Amino acid sequence: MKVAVTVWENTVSTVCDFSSRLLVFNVMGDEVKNRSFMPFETRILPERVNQLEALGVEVLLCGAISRPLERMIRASGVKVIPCLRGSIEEVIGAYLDGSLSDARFILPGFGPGASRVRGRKRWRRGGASADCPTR
Amino acid sequence: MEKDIILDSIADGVFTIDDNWRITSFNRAAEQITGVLREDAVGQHCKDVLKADVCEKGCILRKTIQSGKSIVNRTVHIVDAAGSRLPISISTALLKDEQGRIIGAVETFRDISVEEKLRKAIAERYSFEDIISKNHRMHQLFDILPDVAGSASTVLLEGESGTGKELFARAIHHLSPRKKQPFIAVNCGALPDTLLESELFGYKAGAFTDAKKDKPGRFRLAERGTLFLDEIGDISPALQVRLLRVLQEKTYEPLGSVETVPSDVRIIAATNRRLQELVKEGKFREDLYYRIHVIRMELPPLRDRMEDIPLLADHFIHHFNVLQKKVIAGLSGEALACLVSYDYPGNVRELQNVIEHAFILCKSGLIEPHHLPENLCLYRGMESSGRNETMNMKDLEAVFITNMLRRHQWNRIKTAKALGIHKSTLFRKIKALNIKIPA
Repeated sequence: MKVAVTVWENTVSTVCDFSSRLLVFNVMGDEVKNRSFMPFETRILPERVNQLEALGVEVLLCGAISRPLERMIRASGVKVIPCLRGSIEEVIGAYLDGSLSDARFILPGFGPGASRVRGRKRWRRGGASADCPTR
Repeated sequence: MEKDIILDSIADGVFTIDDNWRITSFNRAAEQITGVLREDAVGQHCKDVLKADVCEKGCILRKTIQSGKSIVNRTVHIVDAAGSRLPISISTALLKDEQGRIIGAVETFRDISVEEKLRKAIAERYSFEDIISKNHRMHQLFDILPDVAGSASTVLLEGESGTGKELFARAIHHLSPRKKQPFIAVNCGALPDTLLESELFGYKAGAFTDAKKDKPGRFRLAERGTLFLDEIGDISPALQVRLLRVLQEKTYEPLGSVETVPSDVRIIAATNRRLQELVKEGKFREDLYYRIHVIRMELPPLRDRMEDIPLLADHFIHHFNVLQKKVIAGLSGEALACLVSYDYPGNVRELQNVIEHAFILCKSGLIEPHHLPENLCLYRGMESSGRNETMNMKDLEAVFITNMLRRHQWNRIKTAKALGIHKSTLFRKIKALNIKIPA
């Protein structure tokens, strides 16, 4: 399975929409193979989707993401696991062992304990962020 | 505590950081703008809370700390906790202790979504980031767009009214090397022939009775930039000849002038008619057609990309929420079913008008079918059942048949033929599914 992470330095980039690098790798069993970093610089959202599609990415691990971008990526058949933070190695490890819902990997304001700010709805019915690792 | 009360009384978002970039205070307005609560924000790295486009590439607070200088009113974009992209205006300043040592920094920010939307609407500066679609055909267009923008070739955009031809033209311009030069749009169909000629090429003083002084034409105004000629299929044969000459020789003469003016303008033409057919009918010059038709892009009508309707509706709801200061949560399942059962002869512009109509009637909560224009909700099955969950097979069938009927001007015989079923089967389904046929 081909997985991509949006990266900044050695951490998950805070916002997928603004990130400029991708780490792409294959997951074979418990192993990570064929790691490669590549630019992810276009600010044009459909081009970002096309780049992921062209790379054959099946799962995207990322930080915060805007609703339109998330919907477009999902519509292209890529599973999005958003709202993540932390070092790349730890996040990949947590993805492999299924512990991404650990609070330390979730951006502030997104965790299960995150309360709502009055006047702003965090979750939308059938909305884009339904797959946040808080599920 | 006293400090918090003071900060909470400020209308702008305010947070402070220590020398490790950790948030030490976070006021109520900051909560409202970012969607992150104070207790979730304090102690966190500021970039994880603010989520701005500059955090990783050119942190403004870092610049302030390094230079010792405040930054005032820089516009940046953030993604809030609800997944909305917001433009905000940021200012920064240093925090120092009594000895004058730097102990951190303060950032104040305000949501400028309304100003940004108004500015865009006035300046018509919508960019590629404003085009949203998950349709395969649209994505094919997006794929080639950077290459199209990078070339100097003339582009022909074909598509029905309201499909976003001007938005595409602006996007091509903003992605092109000419982006810092002007983008000038002319609607060729809106002006009579003689006026259009003087508008395009300008005139010299004395060229005609009221020409008291020189007036530059759109070609001149678009020099080194892009000229968007909308409804090009509507121009007269005489003007077609003049346009052909500009495209071939890159020169033109303003009305009443004997001097030839060189022109360095990229042309993007658009039409809602099939230019090739106009050529066959002898209404459009073949040589001009081939001059324009270097790169042709056909924008699909909305009815061919119905999967975009939830995405576009969501986009317009956000747009009107910002402009009208409302908190409409979205569309109910029934309202969405109504939207997808319509075939939008006016395309995306019509969908925008439909959502604007709903905003007048819907005060808060979800948009329901009765908030939509009457002609939109012809299939009332789900509305009467009062259910709120997603559509079932019966609903989908009803929506599909309603769509097909509409596409065939409600002619049941033609619709049955298109569906490959007997007309009596169609009549039975219309009755069983409670589909309303307009009189």
